[in-house]
Amino acid sequence: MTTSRRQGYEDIVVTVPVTVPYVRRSNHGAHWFVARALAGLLEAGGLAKSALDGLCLSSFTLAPDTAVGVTQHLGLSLRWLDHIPMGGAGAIVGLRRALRAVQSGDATVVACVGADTNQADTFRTTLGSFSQFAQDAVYPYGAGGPNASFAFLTAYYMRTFGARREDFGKLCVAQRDNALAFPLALFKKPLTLQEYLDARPVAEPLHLFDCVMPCAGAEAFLVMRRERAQDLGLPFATVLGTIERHNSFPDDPIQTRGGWVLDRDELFAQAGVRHADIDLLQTYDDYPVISVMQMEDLGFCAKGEGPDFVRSHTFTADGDFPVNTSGGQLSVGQAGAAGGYLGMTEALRQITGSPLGAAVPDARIALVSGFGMINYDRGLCCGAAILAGRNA
Amino acid sequence: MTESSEEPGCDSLVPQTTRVPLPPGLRSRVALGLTAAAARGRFELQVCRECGAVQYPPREACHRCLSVLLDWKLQDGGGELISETMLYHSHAEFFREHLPLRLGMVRLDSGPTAIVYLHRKVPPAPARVKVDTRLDKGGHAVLVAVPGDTTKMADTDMADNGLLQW
Ligand SMILES: [Zn+2]
Repeated sequence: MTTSRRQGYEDIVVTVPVTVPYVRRSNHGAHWFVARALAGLLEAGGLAKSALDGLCLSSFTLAPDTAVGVTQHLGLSLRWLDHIPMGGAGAIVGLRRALRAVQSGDATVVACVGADTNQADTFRTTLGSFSQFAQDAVYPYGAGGPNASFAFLTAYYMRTFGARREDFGKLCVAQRDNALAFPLALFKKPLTLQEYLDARPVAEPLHLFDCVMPCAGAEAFLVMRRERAQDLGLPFATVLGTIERHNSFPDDPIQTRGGWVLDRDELFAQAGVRHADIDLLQTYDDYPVISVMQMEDLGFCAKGEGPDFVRSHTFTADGDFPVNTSGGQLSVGQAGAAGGYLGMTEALRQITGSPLGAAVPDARIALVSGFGMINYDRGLCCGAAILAGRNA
Repeated sequence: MTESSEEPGCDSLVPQTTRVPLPPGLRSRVALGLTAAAARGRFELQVCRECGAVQYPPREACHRCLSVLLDWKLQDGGGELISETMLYHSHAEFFREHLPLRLGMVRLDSGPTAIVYLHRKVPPAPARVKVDTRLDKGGHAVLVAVPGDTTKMADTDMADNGLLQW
């Protein structure tokens, strides 16, 4: 393993978590959601549009545009621009890029935005052209999309490590409990374990409540220097450590682990905290199996101990291991690339003392994890960040 | 569409165009090598001329050594079924009448992992399988896996659901 001494982010902060409320379908283009997110950032941040000089954007539905087109569409004159097409890892990677941009002086205020629309045909058309390998070697096999891909990973994980549907159900039920207090969640009805178990199959062993509901929406935050946030009177979080890794274990026949395994020691070393210091965990939860994998690979338990870890902990905001405290994508909805941002905005709100839903008691330190891009048979992009609230 | 009991008029001379849904037909140019071989009844994958690594999905350069010298070569198709799913929901119209579909993830003995149509006689994973190509209804190659001890692929009956040209 290659190790490097990672420079910290001491004077750079993350602030102004914004959510553009999700809707199941929208006739608006993705640009509309980007605009709403930026307007929300400027309003809550007390900033003029001209104060924004950096943008880091993740979206699947801008085509034929990229972030470049967005600058003209929305009249933004910037001196720093990035487009991060990394799906569920978009917020972590975007945060990393933005932190360094502000730290180096290439930009002063960077908006990080994940935004997508969901028009009638959006999800299907995105799937068919998601990647060259998916187009050539996955989509022609039943066109099941991510459901089929995660069904393979889930079935293998269950067989290999003894996970049961009840284990995944426990996570889904806990997240639904969290969502019931979160005003922006699309799912507003309680979910029982029995309902989870009785749901119709989608791609065995996955059933209805293992799968996210695609929707439209946006999530965003600002990155700036500490003094700027203080001048603006904004609550902020500092970033203690971050990692990212791509295509981490190419020789594994099937994915049972992600790149977090390679970098978690550096993450915690850079952050200067231990696992016991983490007050809440936000996993990328497009399917519950990948949440369990993140608990293992980030080091909260050993590989294969995930099922026991799930059985011996409670994941609600008031539980002994709060996870996805807004309800996560499984209960809030998956607004495309905004799904990768959901855990970040939720963590920021929790550790700055302004949760929209159920509060994690004394939340100071959060670990946010990202996972994205089933390019072929596995997710390629992994990332994580440890953030501390003002009083940490 | 409503049926007319009228006597055939001029309109009946215009050929009816009934749109028959087909499986997803978009492929990269390099992936057409799989179809070219399948049309001749052969299961071929790209093999690196420099290091011998077998490649799948089809690609422009070797994943091991970056050589661009990749030759399509006959494969024996042996592998292990490592995971599977029964798919009940499809995003493509063509598949809807064929659901549920049994799909497998196979680790080929030659190295790559492949997603395949799984014959119903293949036992649950883990199981030995033999992977081969077939043309789907749109004329493109797809991979199929049959039980590992199958000697004559023609004896298998995956065509009975209308999914593939058999
Ligand atoms: Zn090679």
